[in-house]
Amino acid sequence: MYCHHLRLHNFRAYRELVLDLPPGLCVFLGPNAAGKTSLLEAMHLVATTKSPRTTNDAELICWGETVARAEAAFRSREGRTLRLAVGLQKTAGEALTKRLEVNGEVVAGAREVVSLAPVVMFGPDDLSLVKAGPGERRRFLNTALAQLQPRYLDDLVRYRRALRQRNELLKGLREGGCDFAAVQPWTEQLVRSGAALALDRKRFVADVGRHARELHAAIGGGEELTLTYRSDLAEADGQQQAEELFRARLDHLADLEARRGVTLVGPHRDELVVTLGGFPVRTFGSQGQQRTAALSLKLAQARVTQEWTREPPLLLLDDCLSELDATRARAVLKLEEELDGVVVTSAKLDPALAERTDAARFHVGEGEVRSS
Amino acid sequence: MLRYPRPLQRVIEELERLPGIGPKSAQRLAFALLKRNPADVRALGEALVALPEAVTRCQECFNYAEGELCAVCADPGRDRRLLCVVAEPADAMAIERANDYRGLYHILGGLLSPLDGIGPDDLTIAQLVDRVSRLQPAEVILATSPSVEGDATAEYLRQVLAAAGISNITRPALGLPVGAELDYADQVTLVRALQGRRAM
Repeated sequence: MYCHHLRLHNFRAYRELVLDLPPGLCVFLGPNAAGKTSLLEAMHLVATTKSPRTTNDAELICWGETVARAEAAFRSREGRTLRLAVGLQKTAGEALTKRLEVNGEVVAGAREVVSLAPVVMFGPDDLSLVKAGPGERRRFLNTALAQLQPRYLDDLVRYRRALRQRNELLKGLREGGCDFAAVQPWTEQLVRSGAALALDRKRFVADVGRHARELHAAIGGGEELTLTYRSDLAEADGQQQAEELFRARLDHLADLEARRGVTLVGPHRDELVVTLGGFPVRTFGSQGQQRTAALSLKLAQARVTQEWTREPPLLLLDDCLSELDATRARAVLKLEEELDGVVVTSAKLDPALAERTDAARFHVGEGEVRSS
Repeated sequence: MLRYPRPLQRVIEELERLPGIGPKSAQRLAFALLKRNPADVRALGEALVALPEAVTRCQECFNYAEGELCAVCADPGRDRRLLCVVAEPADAMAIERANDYRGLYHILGGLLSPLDGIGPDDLTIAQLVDRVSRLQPAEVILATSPSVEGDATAEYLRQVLAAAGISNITRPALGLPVGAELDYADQVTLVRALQGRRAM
């Protein structure tokens, strides 16, 4: 998959932009705050329905405007073209409407978009992938798996809903408001969707772990990188077994849950443990080690996407090569050979970028993008 | 400052209280009423005034009715050994429109949802149990929606009905839209339909 056409209207600093991109490696060069990241952000937004930078979509609309639009055309390895668009409109009050389009037709929700054009992005903020709490790594698993398996997002939405409903009842139970029998139907919903999530995550982590270790070695991480899926349901194989295990774990903690008033077992407590040479990177890693580990995870996600879907994802690398020495940066760019599209932003033409004379270079500044 | 005459303002305020009607729609509707033939407006008014008393709840199934029983419960030609449980009257109406089902209905009046404070006592579940013990139906169909709340409500009913001695409890299949090409089915529907496959 690569992005061959991008069209922006009132998106961040871009009033109007029409840009055609070739397959292979594309490099956006320009000073800080020139609008390089916004270009990657737009591609990420249309493909995943979410900005990688903000959860407040109103920020994406050009200052003083009420309507914004981002549209991108992707070409798959088989040569099929896919046009995705996101339209944003501020309405009365603070409300914002978001319209998702696939090939010119409006679709109902993210569920119908996220698995169409796989995109993997790595930027400066992604350090939090290894540095922040477990929630950040669950988010990584959720975003990746939603792209890989249309069913995953449905299970996730159902799981979260069942969890909230069940917790509400447990809270009432603690306050003596109802009996435990009322909890059981929600437990059943929780168990079904939760077991499916855990199995998907387990399979994904096994594959990502294998590639991350290899890629980490290639981009110069000295110690061995390992990923471990830590879950209440980690040892289960198959839907039925996972459901049975989940039910047994919940049964076992029923009294404690009733006292605490909250669900104590399940995928919402999962952790993805990242270690370097046997030590958790989160607490023991240096800034540099953490960055290389996080980058390895994202690059591994790209490989797994290719393996599972037979479609190489579009890889977006935001301002991350300057932090690496030339050898490592070269190793990262080498991944382009396996993919159809890699888009890189950088403030300066680092040696590893300069020697890639096959790359299409663009200069970015003052709301314009010029080919060079 | 210009204000609408009080009778007009009152209509706008009353309309605004309806679901899905904001201030602008309320205004537009009120103006439309003003422009209409007075006889039409009076007819609408009379229909509205009669509504709360003319429409009752069926004493058997809790669907809307005129009088004690709804049209389905009052119909001697319906199969009393078949009972279909739905959340709202609109769900029963949807099944009726398909003109295939010949059994009775039971309207729950909603779905279980602790977050909205809706528990078993807020639905017509006790009445359902009472009804099945009287009717002794050969089959009870739990036709709540396949949402988390609909599934949980069905699961709760399954337990309650099993405890009441009902052995044949069914749930409608999740499936592909009839006549649609497999190619075009949305992927989640396709996966769920495959998960619910059955032997031929």
